[in-house]
Amino acid sequence: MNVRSKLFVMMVLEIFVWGAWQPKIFSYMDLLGFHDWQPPLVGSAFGIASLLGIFFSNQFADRNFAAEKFLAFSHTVGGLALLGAAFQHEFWPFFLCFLVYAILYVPTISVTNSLAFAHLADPAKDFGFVRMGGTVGWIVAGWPFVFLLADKQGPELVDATKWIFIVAALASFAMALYSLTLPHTPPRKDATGLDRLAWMRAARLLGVPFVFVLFVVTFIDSFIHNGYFVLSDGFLTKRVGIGANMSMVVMSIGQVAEMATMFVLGSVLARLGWKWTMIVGIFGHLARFAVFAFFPDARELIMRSSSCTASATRSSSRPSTSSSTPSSRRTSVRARRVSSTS
Amino acid sequence: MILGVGMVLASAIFPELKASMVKDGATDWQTLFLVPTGLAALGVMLMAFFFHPPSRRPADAAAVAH
Repeated sequence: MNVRSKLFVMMVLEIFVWGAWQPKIFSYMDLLGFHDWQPPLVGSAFGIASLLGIFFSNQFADRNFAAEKFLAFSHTVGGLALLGAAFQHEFWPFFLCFLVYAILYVPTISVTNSLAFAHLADPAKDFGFVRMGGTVGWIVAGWPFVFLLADKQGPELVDATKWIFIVAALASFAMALYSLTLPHTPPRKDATGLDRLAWMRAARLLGVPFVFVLFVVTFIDSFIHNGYFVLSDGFLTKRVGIGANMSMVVMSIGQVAEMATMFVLGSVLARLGWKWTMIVGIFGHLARFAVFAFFPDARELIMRSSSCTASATRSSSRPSTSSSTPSSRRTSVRARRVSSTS
Repeated sequence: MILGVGMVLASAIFPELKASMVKDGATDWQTLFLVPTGLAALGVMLMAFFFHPPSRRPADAAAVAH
């Protein structure tokens, strides 16, 4: 297997772990009877780990551990934590297991990106293909549940839905083993010390008006993007009437569209430019939620709207997955720094 | 951003909104989804009217000036 293909499979497994539980976790917590502040706290665990990860992965993990060994360790312990979460029905044990998993998993997202960039002969050209593995992983993650959740109701559904964590754990263990076959990526030592201040330099960019507007709009986009995952499974199953075993498949239509978007994104960017491409992407969110609000009985329209929106938004507002031209990649790096400061 | 603050706030705010927007004993999905619809509209307008990136990178602009 050549390096590009190896890294592609790495991304498949990496994002499969995430995609197995994300779409259904809020519905699962409803089934467990978690209420009031409890689901938000669980939802925040991943976000808090992400904020910690900005400093941990870039400021510590990258500089002290070989990337492939860091991935193997994190996914092994993270997988055990996911298994723990699967068998907990009381809030605090569940939350603690999930928090441990989140703290270990989140840094691996940026470490896999770093590892890919370190070993691709032409990152600007090849990273898009490698990153597409993540999209494939998310799509595939929904399919086991077509069978695992089929015809389940009541207590059986609660028991079956815990498999979102078991499947994620199995993928995590697979990723841990696979990580040991990845190209050796030694720790990056901070020779000049300037990298420690990268987040401060990025924060200063917010003084530039157009960067500040981009920051605010990206924040709005990320808020509603995550709101989609909080609300959609419950909406699709309880209001639209899609079976519990099919809701993840329906939601993954967006990822299929994302892959198609990646193919045309370069030419769209060349034709419309960054500004109007991102406006089209954000308008996709508007269109999707408007369809959910006003046409909840139109199942086919809802499935189509699931596809046409987040893909464009994510591809334009998450530049690491987007166009492969060198200039757009440099813009991507700067935009990514600004995005990370929040 | 997407993983961090956006996820934390969405996890905190959307469940509360869902619990508060109830009609005839069931979730009022229409009103609930109007919230992200409106926010997306705000994002579109902010980008359209206030996002004015430079047409050239600073290095290119300096090269042209010389």
